[in-house]
Amino acid sequence: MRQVKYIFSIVLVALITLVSCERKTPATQQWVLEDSLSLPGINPIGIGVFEDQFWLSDGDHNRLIAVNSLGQVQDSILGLDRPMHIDANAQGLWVPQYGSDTIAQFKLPSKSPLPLILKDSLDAPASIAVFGEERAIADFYNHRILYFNGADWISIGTEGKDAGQFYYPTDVQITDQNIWVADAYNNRIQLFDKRGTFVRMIGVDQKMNAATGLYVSETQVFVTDFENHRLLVFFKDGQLAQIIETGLEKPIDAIIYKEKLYVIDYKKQQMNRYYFDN
Amino acid sequence: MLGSSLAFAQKSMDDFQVQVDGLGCPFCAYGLEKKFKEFKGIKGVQIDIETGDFSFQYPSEKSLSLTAVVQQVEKAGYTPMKTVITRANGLVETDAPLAAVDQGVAGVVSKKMFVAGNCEMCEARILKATSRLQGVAAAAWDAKTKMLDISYDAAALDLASISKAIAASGHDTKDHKASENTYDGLPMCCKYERIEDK
Repeated sequence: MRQVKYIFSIVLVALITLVSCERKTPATQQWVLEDSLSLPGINPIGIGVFEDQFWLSDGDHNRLIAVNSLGQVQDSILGLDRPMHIDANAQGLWVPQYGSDTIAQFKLPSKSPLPLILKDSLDAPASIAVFGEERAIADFYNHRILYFNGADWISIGTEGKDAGQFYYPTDVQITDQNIWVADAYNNRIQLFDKRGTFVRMIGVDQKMNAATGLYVSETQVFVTDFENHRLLVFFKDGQLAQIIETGLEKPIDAIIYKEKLYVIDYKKQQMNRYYFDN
Repeated sequence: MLGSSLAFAQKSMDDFQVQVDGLGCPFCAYGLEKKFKEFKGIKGVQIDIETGDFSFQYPSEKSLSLTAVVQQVEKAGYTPMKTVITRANGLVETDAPLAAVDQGVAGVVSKKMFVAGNCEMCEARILKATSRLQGVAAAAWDAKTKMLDISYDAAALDLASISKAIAASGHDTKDHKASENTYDGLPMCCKYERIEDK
């Protein structure tokens, strides 16, 4: 009986070791560069997908540009004031205008902006995220996130370096359970629950230099490390999965669409497409 | 350079050129632009993110001062390194230090020194620190190698003084470390890896 217990213990330890090591083993599955789409004359900052078109915010030229999967220009919205990290849903495009402290919604094909009415004032909105009836705004100069849960707005964070504080947040995304924030000049990602309570940080040990853009998929978190010319891929628990440097100079935003990863590069004026190599 | 600035200045507009430390990305550049929109009547705003060069024109009758420009840059969260105003009447105002020594002066020596830093903004700050020293003829810093090549009048200056001045600006050298306060005050993109104490 003692021998059986001993063997059982060894098997148990082996199983635990196997399970605990599973995530520590570097994944053989990697994102691999498929191609680079040139975007001449466009300095993209944000990316969203609406009806199979990639909409890019071109802050330098105060416009949005729609391109197809070949990088060909299909449409545009002009006359904006420094559009930044945009979002899209079935209701259209959502555009933070950094220069005018406003959020505009475009119910395409109409190009007349519908303002998002806020009781609070913004100072350089850098990103808008939409998720069902929920909204979140990265309020750059106020060092905070404004979050609307469908009924009420709450303000998350203050200026600083501690957990739950921000230093120039530039991107935000809402998922089922959480609010994810690119805390750009604290060089990290922060995760909150929907009451605004800090949950954890990601990437603090990666020596990022301006974590400007963020995309959260079902399993991974993609962060553009602007000054270090790379994209960092994390698992949602914060473990680093991959560092992508190929083809990147000043990456600024990312998105996954139809199982491909798209990363836009502000300086190179291009959109890189990566596939997941199993 | 001065001639081209004069030619560019409109009769009724003053021409402003500011080199700004801390601009690293479009969020910073547009932020600076946004804060300067508070100056009603501003025109021709141009910002080069790579170099930190920021320029604009402003109605001359409003007599926008150099001090007000510097304060507005600081209000936006950045550090003005050098400001040059070319007034509509041709007068030039600047806070830039005068050039110290010509390359050909006898006694000028060239040395190399390790200076910690990350980026183009670091480069601008390091070179500004050296340019303020009487006796420096030329200086160049390489972000990849972290090496400073500096030529200076050995009769007026020594390497230790240069090292101290650079450390005072926020950048560690092998012999002098920046204070914690100064290091903490650097823009985030400039937060280099500190040199370990010996």
